Amino acid sequence: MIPGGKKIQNAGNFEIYLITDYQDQDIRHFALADALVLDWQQPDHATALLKEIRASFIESIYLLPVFIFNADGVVSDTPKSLSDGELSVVQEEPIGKMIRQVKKRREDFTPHETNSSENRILTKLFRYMYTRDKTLNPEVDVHAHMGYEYPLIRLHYPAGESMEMLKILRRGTENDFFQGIFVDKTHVCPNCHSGHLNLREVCTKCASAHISSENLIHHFVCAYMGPEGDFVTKQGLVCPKCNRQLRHIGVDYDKPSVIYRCHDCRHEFQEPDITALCLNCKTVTPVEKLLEITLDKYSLTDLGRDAARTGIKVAGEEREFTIPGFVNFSTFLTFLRFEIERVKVSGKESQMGSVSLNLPARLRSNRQQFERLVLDISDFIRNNTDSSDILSFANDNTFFMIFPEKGATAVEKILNDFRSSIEKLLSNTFEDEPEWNLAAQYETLNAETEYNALINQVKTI
Amino acid sequence: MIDFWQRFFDFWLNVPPERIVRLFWYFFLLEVPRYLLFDLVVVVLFSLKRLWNSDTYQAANNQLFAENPLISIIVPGKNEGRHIPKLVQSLTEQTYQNYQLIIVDDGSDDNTPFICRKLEKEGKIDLFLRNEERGGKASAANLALRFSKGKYIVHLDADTSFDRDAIEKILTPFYTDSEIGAVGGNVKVRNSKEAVIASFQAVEYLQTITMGRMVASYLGIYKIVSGAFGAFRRDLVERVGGWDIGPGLDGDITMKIRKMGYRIVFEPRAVSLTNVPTSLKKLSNQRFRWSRSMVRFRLRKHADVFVPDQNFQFRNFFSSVENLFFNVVLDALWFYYVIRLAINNPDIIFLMIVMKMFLYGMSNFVQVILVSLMSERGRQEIKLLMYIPFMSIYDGYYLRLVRTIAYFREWLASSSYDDAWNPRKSSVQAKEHHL
Ligand SMILES: [Zn+2]
Ligand SMILES: [Zn+2]
Ligand SMILES: [Zn+2]
Repeated sequence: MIPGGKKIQNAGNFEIYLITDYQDQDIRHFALADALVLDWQQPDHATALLKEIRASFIESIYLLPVFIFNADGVVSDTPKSLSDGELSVVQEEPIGKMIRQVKKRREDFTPHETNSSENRILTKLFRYMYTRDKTLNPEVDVHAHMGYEYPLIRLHYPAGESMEMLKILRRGTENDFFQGIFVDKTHVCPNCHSGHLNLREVCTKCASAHISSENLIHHFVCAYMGPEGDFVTKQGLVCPKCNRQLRHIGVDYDKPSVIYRCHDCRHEFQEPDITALCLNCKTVTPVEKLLEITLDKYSLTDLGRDAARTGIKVAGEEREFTIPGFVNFSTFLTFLRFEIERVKVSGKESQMGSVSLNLPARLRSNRQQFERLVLDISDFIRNNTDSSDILSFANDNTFFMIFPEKGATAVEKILNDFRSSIEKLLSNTFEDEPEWNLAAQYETLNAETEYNALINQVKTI
Repeated sequence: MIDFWQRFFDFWLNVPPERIVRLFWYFFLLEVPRYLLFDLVVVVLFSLKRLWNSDTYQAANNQLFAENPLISIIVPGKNEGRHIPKLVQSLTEQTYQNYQLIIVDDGSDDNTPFICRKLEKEGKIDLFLRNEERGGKASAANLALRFSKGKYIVHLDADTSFDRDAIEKILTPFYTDSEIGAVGGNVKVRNSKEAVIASFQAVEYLQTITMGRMVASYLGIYKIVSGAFGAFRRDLVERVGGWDIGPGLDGDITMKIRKMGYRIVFEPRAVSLTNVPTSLKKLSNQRFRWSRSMVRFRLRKHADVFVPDQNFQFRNFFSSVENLFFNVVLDALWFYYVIRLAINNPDIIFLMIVMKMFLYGMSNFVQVILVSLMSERGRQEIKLLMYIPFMSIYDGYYLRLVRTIAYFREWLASSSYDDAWNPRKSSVQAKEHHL
């Protein structure tokens, strides 16, 4: 049962829930469902929940078929692209079809671990696209910083980090996981990457936008050439040189070009400059200096589908941190399983702790600096744990520890020490950062502990 | 060969002088007086007058710089982009600097707009105007005129470059005499070393432009302020409505200003250099065009100068008659002369041809020496003397032939209306309105 959800009857063997109440929804409950139908009476809440589902790293959550039930009103592009479809009546048929397809495709997946957050995002993306045969499309979004959005990847990047977001797509294409098909181009402010620009023709001399243009007229028979205003009389267009009436364009006259006049500095010119005023940061940029961004529609290649099934294997990228005294994450999971079996047999309790750094992408962009930082933290953790404790570092983000029979109070104290010391270390490394988003927590391992549930939980950390 | 020279000298040394004059009446009666004696006298008088007036000239020059009026340099053209950077550079070197540079691109289909827009951005061109579709040279010049703000209009060809003081020198005459409406600049050949045919043209330019226009100007019958380098009072250009459909628009506008009673003078000291055709084919095409326009605008459009009505001016009449006589009538007479000679004296025709080359050579020799003596770059020009012996072939036979063909074709078929030089839309109108 899902709080706030109604199970849809007549849905065969499937657990399909209609969500109408968005108060205090916890997406972890959805791991048990086969599909969700979101009632679109409260679009903002529904959209937020949908985003939360797709942002999860737990496969059974982010791959969940989610439909929008919308009897009236309009659904905007972003939620539409994050959902599996819109329904005007709740019917089992399309939902069941999607459930069966996603289930079938998921059977191809083998477990995948990576210590690179980029690879983690890409693998997730591939799996989502693979289960749905979906392409990744740029969506027009007036609320987006760039004016365009790839909603699925955006979930993993803060609003200001559009370039980082595009970089990961480019990497997917460079490694032949994606095939990009041109959709459109857009131009953004080189200063802040905003796509909200005011383009206007301006004077070539004083850059004022207060300019106007006039056609130039060539009167063939007398070769007079001048602005249209020279010809305008009450009798129509009359040539100021030969006094003949202009009758028929292309026969006795034509308009071969235009002239612009600046009302501020009186300058005359034929080709105005075009500049863009950024509505976000107010920077004025000549159009030729704007940053041009190609918006492709991405679809999975054969290599991309392979990567969806087995995870990304790129030479170099998959290189694990070799941290002295630390085991890699899959080994850690094996230890964890053994520990759970052990406490079940012995009837004792152990703890599993974790500390997540949650650093923004820009702080991770200097790889050397980041790795040095991680090594420093590892040193500290190793020096303040027992040699019987099992340590690991995963996803470029989280330190995991198994504390056999240490006791919850001791573990809590240890983790608090770690948190404050790591924060201090971070502040020394990145002097300008005002605050940190460290997360430290622990789970007690005892006879009740379900290995699979714990693993799912670990992966969301 | 030796036999021939033997015969040549035997013959000419034994012929009585009056027979020589009779055989070469064309040369002695027409060409020697017009092109040699006359030139000699005029050049001497011209030099004396210049010396006499040197104080006035200096005062005029001072007045020019004291007033320092804005002038508009206008350059209409098509596919001239590659010349423009050099032209711009040549202008930035000028001693007279208060100018606005307006370049009109008349429907270029090469990279001209690209080059010029860049120069405009850099502030090296004040206004670049472009017609996507060609409108003809007159309309391009008129467009530049419409947007010009200067007191004087200096009209240039894009492939021309200038001595450092050329703009100053072409403006000064306006300050010597308020009756002067336009000043023609001197045009010399820059690429005379590129081909023999270019060297011939260098000599020809010295004779017909530097010398010819100096004489015409002295006599008050100077007719064509060349579009390659000419200065006009802007108010007068506006009064005549700017340029009319060409070809021959340079001569046409000069004529109109003359008709208003203003003087047109030539200033040999305002020197521009131009590149001339280096192949016979291109040269022939250029000359066909020049000659046709001569017939078209002098005989058709300005036929009124021959009519003695209230607008009649003897100078304009004389100017046109002189031009027609020495170009059209004399060419026809020349053919008559040669044919008669071939019939009456077939035995000595070859002797005569060689003798004629000698006589012409002598005449040309004197002319070029005269010009070089007066010239600011006489040392270089005196070297052109080595081409003189062959000038009669270029001048006497080749050019005369091209010219005559062109006259007859224009006369019989009005061929310039079909000339690709003007866009079709303008030609149609010109033909319809008998312009
Ligand atoms: Zn901006
Ligand atoms: Zn302005
Ligand atoms: Zn007109």
